[in-house]
Amino acid sequence: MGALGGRVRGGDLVADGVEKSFGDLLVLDGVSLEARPDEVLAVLGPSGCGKSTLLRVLAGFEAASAGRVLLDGRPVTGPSPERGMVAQAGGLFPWLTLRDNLAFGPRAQGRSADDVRAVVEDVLAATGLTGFEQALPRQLSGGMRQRAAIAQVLANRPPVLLLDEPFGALDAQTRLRMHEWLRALLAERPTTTLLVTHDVEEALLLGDRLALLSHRPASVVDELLVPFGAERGRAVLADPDFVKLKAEVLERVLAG
Amino acid sequence: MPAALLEEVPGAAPAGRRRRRPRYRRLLGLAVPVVLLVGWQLVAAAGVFSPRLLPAPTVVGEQLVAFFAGDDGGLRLAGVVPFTGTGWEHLAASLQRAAVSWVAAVVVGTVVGLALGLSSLARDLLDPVLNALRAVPLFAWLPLALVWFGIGEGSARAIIFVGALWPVLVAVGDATARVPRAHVETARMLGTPRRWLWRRVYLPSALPEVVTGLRLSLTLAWTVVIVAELSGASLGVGAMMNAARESGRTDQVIVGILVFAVVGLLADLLLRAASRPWVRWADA
Repeated sequence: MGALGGRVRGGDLVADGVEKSFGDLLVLDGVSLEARPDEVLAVLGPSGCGKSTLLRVLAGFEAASAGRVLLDGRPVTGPSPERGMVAQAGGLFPWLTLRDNLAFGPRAQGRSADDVRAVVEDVLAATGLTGFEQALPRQLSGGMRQRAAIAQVLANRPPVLLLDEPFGALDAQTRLRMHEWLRALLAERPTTTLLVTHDVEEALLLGDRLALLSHRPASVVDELLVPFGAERGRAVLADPDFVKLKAEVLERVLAG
Repeated sequence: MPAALLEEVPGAAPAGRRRRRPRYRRLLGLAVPVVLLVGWQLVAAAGVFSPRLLPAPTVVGEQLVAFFAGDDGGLRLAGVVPFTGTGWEHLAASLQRAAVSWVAAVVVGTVVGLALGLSSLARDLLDPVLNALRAVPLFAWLPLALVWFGIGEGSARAIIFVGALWPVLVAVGDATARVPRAHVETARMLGTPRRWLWRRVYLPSALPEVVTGLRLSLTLAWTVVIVAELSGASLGVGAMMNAARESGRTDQVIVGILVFAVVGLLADLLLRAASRPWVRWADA
């Protein structure tokens, strides 16, 4: 990262009593949570509880019906490069090579060609995709595609990363490898990350803190600190404390 | 997908790998014309039909050579459409007519199509009237074009333009309207200003379908040229064919047909080759 100057400080993302309804359907019922600078907040909830809607509101794709979203105290009014979002299927543009996909954000913001090249090299290296610059997204494996989607967002050096079940479409082995990879990546370049998932194991592997959502209409019913260190490899899966916590959290999620 | 790329991408999904047909299969497309040609020669030689109805391919071949390579003697008579040695002139006139109107149709069709695809207001405003106009048979415009632009270049260009317009307009409109919202949102999230979305997202995403529209449109423009040239033009492949028909030269009429076929085919191949780098991503 040296060539790119000092690292970006993680942002402080706050949802304050966020409500969202579509017509008569209330999806979010006063969600309040905070992703603090540089931490990974895993938002866990039962399937169909409105997790993705919450993330879309935080990303600025949907306006909240009531309540506010604040990034470092400023209200969020629309999508912005400072809140990089990665969805389950990834956001890569199928018509662009990997290089052009990664350069998309910096170019959109009018960075110089040299800058763009440096940023692309940097995120390629960080995501282990060096050598695949000329490949089209469809020529990459599922795991590579998701890493590339994250790299595409990281190229904008966002203070906040929003991940919507980013590994949900991958097989279990690949997913585990992605968890370890993402942990290492975020350890290397801390970024405030809000991860939405229905997978308890994923939440416990990646999250520093957990926010549990209720069934729809969703609100935060519990928050807890994940009591495992930053160096969380797959070994932790065998830790009796991890197994126990996972079972407890799963109970809570299913109970809504 | 080129095999070389697959090798460079270990672990890449083998998407788009296709069974290659043996090389000789591609030559089959040439076999049919050869068989037809031989059959035609046999029928002509047997004298079943008078040469005025069905001249032998050898005669047509001679005329074809004369059309492009013959000596025109530097003679031009007013009101007479020349044949010998004037092939390139006729062809250039037809190509220019088709090209000017086609390019105009592509520009107008792309702009209006983008408007329809991007703006629901434009859609509500224009869709009904455009669909109604599109339903008018192309040659129903001909009398009106003749009244408005007179016999000659103006009305020819107008008719070719109208014929070439619809495929582009419909393809661009439909394809841009169907661009996945996720792509647009990703582009916005990555910092793309709204005013550049059409260039960065809508157009590239829509391009494979647009190219199909462009091909249809080009074929149509080329098809309509002959009709446009049947009335009044003194230069153009269509004008030559009309004159040949009037003087009973079936062999020269067939020369015109051959020229239309070959040039139309080449134009389509050229367009496909030129657009290839931009639509390669959409190959199955």
